[in-house]
Amino acid sequence: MRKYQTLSVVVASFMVVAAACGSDTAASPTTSVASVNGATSTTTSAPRGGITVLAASSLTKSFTALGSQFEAAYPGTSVTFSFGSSSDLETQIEQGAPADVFASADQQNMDKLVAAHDNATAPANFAKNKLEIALEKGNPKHVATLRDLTASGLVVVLCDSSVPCGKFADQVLANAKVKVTAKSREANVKATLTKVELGEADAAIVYVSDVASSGKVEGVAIPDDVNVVTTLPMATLTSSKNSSVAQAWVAFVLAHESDLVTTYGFLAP
Amino acid sequence: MTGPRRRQGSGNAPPLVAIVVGIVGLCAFFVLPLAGLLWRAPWSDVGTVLGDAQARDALRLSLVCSLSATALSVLFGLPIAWLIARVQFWGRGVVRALALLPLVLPPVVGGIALFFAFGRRGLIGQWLDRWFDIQLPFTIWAAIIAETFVAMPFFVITVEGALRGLDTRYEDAAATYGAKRWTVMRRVTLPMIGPSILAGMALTWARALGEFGATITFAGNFPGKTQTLPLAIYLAFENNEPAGIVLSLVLLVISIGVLAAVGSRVLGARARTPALAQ
Repeated sequence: MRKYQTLSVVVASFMVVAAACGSDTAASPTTSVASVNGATSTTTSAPRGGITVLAASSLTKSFTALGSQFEAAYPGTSVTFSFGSSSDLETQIEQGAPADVFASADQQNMDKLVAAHDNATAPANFAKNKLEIALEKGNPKHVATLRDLTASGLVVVLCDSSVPCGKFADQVLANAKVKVTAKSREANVKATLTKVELGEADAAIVYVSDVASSGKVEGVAIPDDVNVVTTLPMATLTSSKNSSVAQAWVAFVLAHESDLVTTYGFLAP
Repeated sequence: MTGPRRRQGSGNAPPLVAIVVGIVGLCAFFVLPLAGLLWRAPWSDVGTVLGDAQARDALRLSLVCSLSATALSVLFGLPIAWLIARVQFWGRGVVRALALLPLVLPPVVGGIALFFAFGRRGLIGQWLDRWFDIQLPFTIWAAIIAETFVAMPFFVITVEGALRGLDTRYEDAAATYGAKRWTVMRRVTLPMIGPSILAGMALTWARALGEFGATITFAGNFPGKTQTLPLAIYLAFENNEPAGIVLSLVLLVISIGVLAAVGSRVLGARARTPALAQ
C-alpha cells in the first residue's frame, strides 16, 4: 500500500518537475530535469527510485518504521520489504530473487551469501541481539529460569534448528545443560512468538528484540554466561538495479543504530 | 451462419489450436517444473535421505494424516454435499459458500482460525481444555483437523456436482416401488455417484497430502509427532539441503501413482455409466 502511495508521489513530482520545464527550485534534493530524462548518474543527484530489502523476520517492526523514515528523508525513494527467515531469504537470493539489500539475523547466512559472491558491498554489522524467554503477560506459569522450561505440562515452542533462532536456542539450552522438549519447532521467529501471543504456548525462546517490540508478551532474561549474542550484518547485492538507494539505505540504518537499541530492544553492534 | 456440423464416429478431437495450447500448457505448468526437480535431484543421496528416520517418520505421518483427513471428509462431506444439493432451504447459497470457504482462505489464516476455534483459548478449545484436559494444538489430531479443514471442500464440491447432475427419476422409481429413503440412498444414489465419490476422495487425499500452511500453524512442527512430509521438505530447504528435493520427489511419486490409478478407474467407470443407465 505504502509502496503505491510513494509511487504516486514519485509520479506526481515528476509531473511537477516536467511542468516547471527546467526551473527546478532546488528547495528539496530532487533531481534536475536532465536527470528526469534519464541521465541520473550525476554525482550531485540524490538517490531516488525503489529498492527491495530482504530482512530477517526479527527486523519486521524496526525496519518497517525505519523504511518510512527513510522515504521521508529521501523523497522519491521507496523501500519494499520482504521478511522471512534468514536462511529462506539467502536461498531466494541464490536463486536470483530481484533484491537490493540483505539483512541477516546471523553471520552464517551472510557468509553463505558472500561465498556465493552475491554481495556488492562488504557486510556491515548494524545491531546485535540475544535470546530471551518469552512468556504470557503476568507469567502465570511462574517461569524464572531456563530450567523451569522443563516443567511437565508446560507448552514450550522453539524455532526449528534449521533457522538461526532455533540454532541459537539449541546452543543456549546446551550451554545451560537443560534439556527442553518443545511441542513444536517453528519455521521462523515470528511464528514462534505468535504461539505465545495467541496463548497456545506457555513459553518460547526468541530474541530480546522480539519481546521488546511485541508488547503482548513478557520477557525473562537469560544469563549472559549461557546466552548467545548474535550479530546482524547487512549488505547490498550484486543483483541490485539501484545501488545508490541501496547504499543510502544501509548508511541510513547504520546512522540509526541507536533507534534500534532504544526503541526496538536490539544491542549496540 | 450455418449451424455447427456434428461429425459422428471420429470422436470429439479438439481443434489443432487447442491441442497446441494444451501441450504448451502441459509443458510449462506440469512437465518443466517436474523436470527441474529431477534435473537438480541429488541421486547419489537418495539412499541416505530415505534411510533417515526423520524422513520416514514424516512420510508415515503424512500418510496417516492424509488418509484420516480423507475419511473425515467423506464422513462429513457426503451429508454436507447432500444437504446443499438436494434440500431446499433458506440461506442455501450462504451454506454452500461457507463449505467452500477453505478453498479461498490462505491456509495459514485457516490455521489461525482453527486456533481461535479449537486452541487453548479458542471458542470450543478452552472448554475442552478446562473440562476434559484436552489440548488439540501441536498434536497429530491438530494435523488431521487442519488437513480436513483445507481438503474437505474438494470432496463436497465434487459430490455436490454429481448429486445435482443426477437424474432423480431412478430414485423416484425406487421410492415408488416402496424403497425406504435409506435403501434408496444405499442401493440407487450412492452407486450412481460412486465414480464421483472416488474422484472426490482422490482430490481430497491429494490436497491433504500436500497441505502445509494450516498444518504448520495449527499443529506446529515436531519431528515424529506433527512434522508431515511437506513440513519436512520446507525446513530441509531452509538449509538448502538436497534432502528437500528427494523428499519432494517421494511425495510426487506417491501422489502421481495413486492419482493415476484412481483416475483411470474413475474414467473407466464413467465411460460405463451411460451403458448402465440405458
